[in-house]
Amino acid sequence: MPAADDSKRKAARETIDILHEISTLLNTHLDRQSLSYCVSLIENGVNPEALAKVIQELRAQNERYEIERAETAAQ
Amino acid sequence: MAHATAISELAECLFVSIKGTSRDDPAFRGHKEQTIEGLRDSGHARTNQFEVKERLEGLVEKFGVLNRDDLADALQLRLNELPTNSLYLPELLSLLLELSNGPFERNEYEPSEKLLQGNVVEDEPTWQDILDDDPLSEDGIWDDVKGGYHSSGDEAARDGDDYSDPTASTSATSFDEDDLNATARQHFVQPDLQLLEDIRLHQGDLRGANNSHALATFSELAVIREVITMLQGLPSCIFTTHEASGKVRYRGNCSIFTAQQSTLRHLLELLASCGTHLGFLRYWTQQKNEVAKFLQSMQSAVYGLLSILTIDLGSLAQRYISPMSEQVVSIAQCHAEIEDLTRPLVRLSEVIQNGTVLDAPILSRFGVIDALYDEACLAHRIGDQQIFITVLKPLLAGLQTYSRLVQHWVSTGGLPEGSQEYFFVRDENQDCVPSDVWHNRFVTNRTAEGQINAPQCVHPLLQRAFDTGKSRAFLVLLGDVDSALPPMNLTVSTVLESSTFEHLLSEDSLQSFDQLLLETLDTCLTAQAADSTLALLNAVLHDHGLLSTLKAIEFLYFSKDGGILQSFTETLFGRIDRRSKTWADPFMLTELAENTFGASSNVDMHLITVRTDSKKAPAASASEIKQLEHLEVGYALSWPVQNITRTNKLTIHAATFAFLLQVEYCSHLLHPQIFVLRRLPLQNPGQKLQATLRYALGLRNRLLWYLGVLRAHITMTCSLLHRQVTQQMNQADGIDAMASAWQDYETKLQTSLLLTRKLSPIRNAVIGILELCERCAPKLDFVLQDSSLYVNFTATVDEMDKALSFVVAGLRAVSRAGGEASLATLAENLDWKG
Repeated sequence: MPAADDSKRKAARETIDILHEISTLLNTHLDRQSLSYCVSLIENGVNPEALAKVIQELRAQNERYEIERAETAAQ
Repeated sequence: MAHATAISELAECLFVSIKGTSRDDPAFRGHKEQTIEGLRDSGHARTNQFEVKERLEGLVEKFGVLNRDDLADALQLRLNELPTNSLYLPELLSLLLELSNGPFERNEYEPSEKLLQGNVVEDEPTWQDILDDDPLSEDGIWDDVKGGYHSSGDEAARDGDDYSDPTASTSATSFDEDDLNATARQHFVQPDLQLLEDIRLHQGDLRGANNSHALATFSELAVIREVITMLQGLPSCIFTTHEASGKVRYRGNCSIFTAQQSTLRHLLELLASCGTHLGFLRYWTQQKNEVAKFLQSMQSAVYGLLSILTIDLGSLAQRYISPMSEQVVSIAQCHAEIEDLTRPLVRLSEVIQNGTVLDAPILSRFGVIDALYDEACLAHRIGDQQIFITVLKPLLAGLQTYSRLVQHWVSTGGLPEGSQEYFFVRDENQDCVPSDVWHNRFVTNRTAEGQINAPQCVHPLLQRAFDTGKSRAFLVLLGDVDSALPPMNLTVSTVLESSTFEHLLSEDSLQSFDQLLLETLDTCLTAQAADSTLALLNAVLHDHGLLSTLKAIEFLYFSKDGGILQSFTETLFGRIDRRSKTWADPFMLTELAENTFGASSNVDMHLITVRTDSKKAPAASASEIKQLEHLEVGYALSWPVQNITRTNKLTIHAATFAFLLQVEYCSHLLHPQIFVLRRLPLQNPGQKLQATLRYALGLRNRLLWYLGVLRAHITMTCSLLHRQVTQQMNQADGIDAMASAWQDYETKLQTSLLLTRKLSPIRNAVIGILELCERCAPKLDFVLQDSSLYVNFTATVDEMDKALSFVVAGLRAVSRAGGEASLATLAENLDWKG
């Protein structure tokens, strides 16, 4: 039933939009793409705390990498 | 496998998105593995949706406190817009909260375009727009304002401010009368559905437990609530109720933290048993019964008791909902309280169940009311006041309604409509002749086992009630009373109140309930019975001919006035002497009887008839004694009197009169000879009469003596018996007593006058002597006329002696066997040798 699928997709898009706005209000620094990946992971049963921890570690790795690159460039 | 692959791909995409590295990076694989490992970490607790909700609410509040209302409103708005049917919403929000990083300090919040579009402020309306919409061209719009209009700048208005009406409300002081919907909308309060969210979630838990057989854990309060719900007859999650029979069963699907499973099961099974009994009562009160109205009254009373229990259970629940003081929530304590509350109704249910099994269509229809009566007596005897009062209410309600049927019968003499199956009186013969109404129209209605169709507790009074109703019906037939229900000074319904009984029994602790109930019903019945019975007896005795008939019988059959009888017999015997063939003609005899007996003021000549029984009448050649035996003098009886005599003919009295006539006839044959005796020539004083003459005179004397003894026996016996029965009639307490007295009187009359079949040999001997007298009379006449004639009377004397001996012996034997004193006296008199 294409009409039902369309309405489902539309509802899902709206939900993602609202979550993105909440994400912005809460200053989570998640872009829309990342947020959609997070939603899919959670719908597949991933624990949100575990996911949050993974994202924070990845960001921390990014910061460390940026600092190292900046130090290397300064040298 | 597919699930793991999906997670792996998503993790890869997320990694790329956050790190920004490409898949070609040599460290990509290692980092990806690390990421996937981190995602698989199961050391975290499940997301608590309530905690997430509280955190978000706290965040909104914090935004407000920190004077960031824009953020607070925006966040709340978006939270409200989120779909509620999403299963992973708490998890998603939890993720966002975890990743939240100082939203109030470094918020780069920019409203989205969608919001910006929604918040566009429209241009303010200009005067030109207003005038375009509503031009000021109406008539009278620029006219002066009428007095009484107040404006703030009006001096005159200030003076009149004191006279203005106070404003009732500061809100909605002006409204468009045409738009009531708008007015109504201003007063609507939108309910906050969020307040019900917790209840809906809890209901969801219970419904889940309801549908599954797995053990679910409830709070003790929830279990108590379910128990109270079940006892009130409502659906419950932990009990099942069979709709048809009301049987309640515990599902066995719940547990509580504060008690062992076995303990809880035991308590709940006890409560389920209690619920089963209450369920049966609810089921029983809903059974339709159009015919037995007393059952409907009992159902109503039981329904009232169930309503009181429902209120009590509600009060019990209220104590947990709005406790006035601190209390411990305990299922065991609740069970104890419920057991105490429901004990009387449980017992009532058991009693009604036992009574209902008996109450099959074929068997007694009063099984329930009888069972309640037995239980009430037992409860009162053992002093269980609670059960006694509970059982008393439906019992008295049923008796009240049943007693109305009895009251209707007793007061009007008519059967209540639609009561054939449940009433103890049945109209057996609606077309019954009036002379048979008392004995054959109404009969007691009995079951197949011969029991009267009525509750056991009223059985001792039923006979009197039956007779009273019959008396009333009889009076209605006599036309002496109206068939409408007369006003009652003492109605059974007001007396049969449970409060009255409780008060009386509390005053006298030694009196038993069954005795009190019987006395109460007896008092009511006596008040009504006395009126009907006395009125009926007076009517039958004085107004409808019983006493006058009794008086007429004396004169007509028993020769109370000898002159009247003599005038009858003289004419009759004269016709017989003249050998008139028509002396036995019924019309002539009737006319003779009317003219002679009718002369007495106590006899109604129009009621007299005389006939001969053509079937039994002997041939014309038979002796007159034999012919006189079949003469039947009749006296018409009114139909009320026939209800007492049970016959329309006074056959025994007619036979008695015939017997008397026979004796009188013999006397008639012998008495004229006295004039002959005076003419007997006596040559010399002291001259002896000739032997034949002497013999003849002796025989004559003996015959006259015999006739005298018989006559005296007949008249005295009849007079005595008749006097007795008249006295008994005056003293009788009912028609049945009168009928019994009459029956007894006729039996004694028959026996004393030898009219029964068993005494026919003696009677035949007595009649034989009378016939002998009839045969002898001409011979005696000859001898007295001519003393020289020789007539051998030896055979006659021997025959008379033989017959007399037989009669005496027979009378003695009968009197010894039957105890009839009159027969013994007759035997003694006949045995006197002089």
